[in-house]
Amino acid sequence: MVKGGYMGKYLVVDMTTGTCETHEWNEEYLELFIGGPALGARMLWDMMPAHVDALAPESVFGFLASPLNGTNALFGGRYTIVSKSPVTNGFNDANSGGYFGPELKKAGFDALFIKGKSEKPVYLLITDDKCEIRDASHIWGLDYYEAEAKIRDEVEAELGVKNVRTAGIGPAGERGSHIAALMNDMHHTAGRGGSAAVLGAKGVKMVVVKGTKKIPIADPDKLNEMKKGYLAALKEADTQVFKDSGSGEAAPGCILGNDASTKNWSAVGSDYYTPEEAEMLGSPWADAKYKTKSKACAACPFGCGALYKVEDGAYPIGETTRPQYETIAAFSSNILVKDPAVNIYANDLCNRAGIDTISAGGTVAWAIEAFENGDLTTDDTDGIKLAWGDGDAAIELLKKMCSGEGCGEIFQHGTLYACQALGNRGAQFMTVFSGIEPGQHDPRLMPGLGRAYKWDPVPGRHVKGTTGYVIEDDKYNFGEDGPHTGAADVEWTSYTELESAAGFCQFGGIYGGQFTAVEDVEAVTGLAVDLAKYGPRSFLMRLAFSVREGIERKDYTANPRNMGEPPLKGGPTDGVTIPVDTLGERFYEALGCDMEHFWPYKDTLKALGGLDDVAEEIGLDRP
Amino acid sequence: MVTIKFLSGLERRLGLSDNSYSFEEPAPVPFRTLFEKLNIQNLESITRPLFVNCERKTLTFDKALADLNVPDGETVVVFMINGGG
Repeated sequence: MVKGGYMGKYLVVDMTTGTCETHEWNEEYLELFIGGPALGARMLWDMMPAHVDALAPESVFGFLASPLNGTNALFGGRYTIVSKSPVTNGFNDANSGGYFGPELKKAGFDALFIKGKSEKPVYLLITDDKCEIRDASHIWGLDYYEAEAKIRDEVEAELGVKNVRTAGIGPAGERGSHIAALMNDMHHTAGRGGSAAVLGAKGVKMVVVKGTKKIPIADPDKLNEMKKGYLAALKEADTQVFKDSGSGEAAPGCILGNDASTKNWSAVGSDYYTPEEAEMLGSPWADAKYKTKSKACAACPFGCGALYKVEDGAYPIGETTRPQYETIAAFSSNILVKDPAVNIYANDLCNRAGIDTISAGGTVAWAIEAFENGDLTTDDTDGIKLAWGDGDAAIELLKKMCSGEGCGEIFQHGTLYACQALGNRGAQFMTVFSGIEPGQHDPRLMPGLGRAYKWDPVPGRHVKGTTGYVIEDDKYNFGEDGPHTGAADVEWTSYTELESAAGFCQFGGIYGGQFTAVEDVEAVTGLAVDLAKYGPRSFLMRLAFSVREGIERKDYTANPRNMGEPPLKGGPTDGVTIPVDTLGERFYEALGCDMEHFWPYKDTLKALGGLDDVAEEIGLDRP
Repeated sequence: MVTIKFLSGLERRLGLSDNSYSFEEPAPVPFRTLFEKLNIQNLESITRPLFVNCERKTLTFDKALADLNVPDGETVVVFMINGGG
């Protein structure tokens, strides 16, 4: 029985009819799916018909606050968005930090689902138990930073309050860009998979929330006691570099160690970057020149965000946000650029337009390689002469993508769309997974990422699954003779499924050594979490949405380059090839799926609970 | 002279006071010899993979210990991949 962590209600807003309805949860859903991607997939399964276009009115977009949001459970500040992906045509989820999730709960709602299509641009104002649909014509077309500042000032003045929280889209989402990112609280991004285009198609520019309600906690004493223990443990861990410089501190090591992409995943970082050049791309170097303020998400003892003020160099853009690691890598080693000004400016451009920096950097890298190979010409790029290492040209193409003008009308949708629109020229250089550009961590170094990048229903994500570093595990021996990875893969994936559902930031584990999502969820909700069942239930619910859309094994695609076919020469991943199909087969076999389609068996789904109707609709009979 | 340099605060995790150490050794000198002079006691506590960069090549830490001879005047950079995100 649920005793805390939820407000007990969710909103459904129909943009076509202009109505806001409050619904009470089916408590079994909370017990079984907990939150985030799993609960979102379950709700989309119920609310959406199959086979509708992602951008159609019948398509549903969901915001899901998480059970840890607003409870002060450490690292528990993240919320999730869900929709059908306009790129994969399957399920999509993405998550973000900041303060939006906790505030939605304070306003009395655990989730918000939006369907239909508004005739004119609108924003939603959600306050204690209320939801209003308001005209947003005056902010439609503004970049995200401008739009948020304007609407925040207006609403705060009207309500006589401070610190309203916001989430919304930039011009890219308005235009339906397939790599549009949902932004929130100015600097935070749920960027991956193109869900922001779904919100844009509904005519919704922004959601503004302000609440005053208290969030129930099942066992507050236990939560506080655990929190004291975590804080003491964090003092023992050396987290200062991360506190000071955020995830961008990792850039030099990732570039030199071949975790970050070099030259669109085709080269070895240390062949192009000296340690000194790599260090200049790390956030400690840029912090020393530009950092003005640290920023933290709700309930975070780290504070890995920061503001910069850039008044020198190639792009003196003034106040901006410090790029995270992913953005740094995507706009430096990925395109062989050495000037940190490029990734700082690219980050600003993407945030204002509301574009995913990972996909944007991947698209630019593909375009450069195709251009260098003669597959694209200046006729395709509005005269921009793309070249490896030319940061100015990369920025010019990115500006086109952000504005959607000229060639940007094509490139704004990411690598797959652009390549197809240009007659599949340069297709061999597309380093995408089912159309999604991968995170800036290399499967040739971390083979579990290869499985997740290729075979997760939400492809190309570095935050799903993973089974550790290749050099720790029998020296790349994951082939037919190597250790059987299926059970370990399912086990670790199960934990990341729960982290996402809980709203727990993975940096708590990566940098702080805190893998406490299970204990936190139990203290907050009063539920007993059976991770061995929860993980597969969550994963297979996400998968089921895509299965219902007809997506099967043959539809999951990857560039062999990303798996080491042919292998890199030199560097720490010299000669490595990842047997990604074997990893996928072992994973899906351990989950209880068939090998032909990677679809779940009916009995697999029924054994997990809460999926009987799903099993009847898409489950296979076990031979 | 050869130098060992640590990136991104790795020296603190290894219990060292400085991020750079220079050695007046007749070069070339095995990386293992230099590293052992640092007398690091808690190498096992580093759970992320370590790498070594020397002469514009990156090697795994184990390979560097086994094979790397450091020429005179070189700086060996030791680092780990600590996540990103």
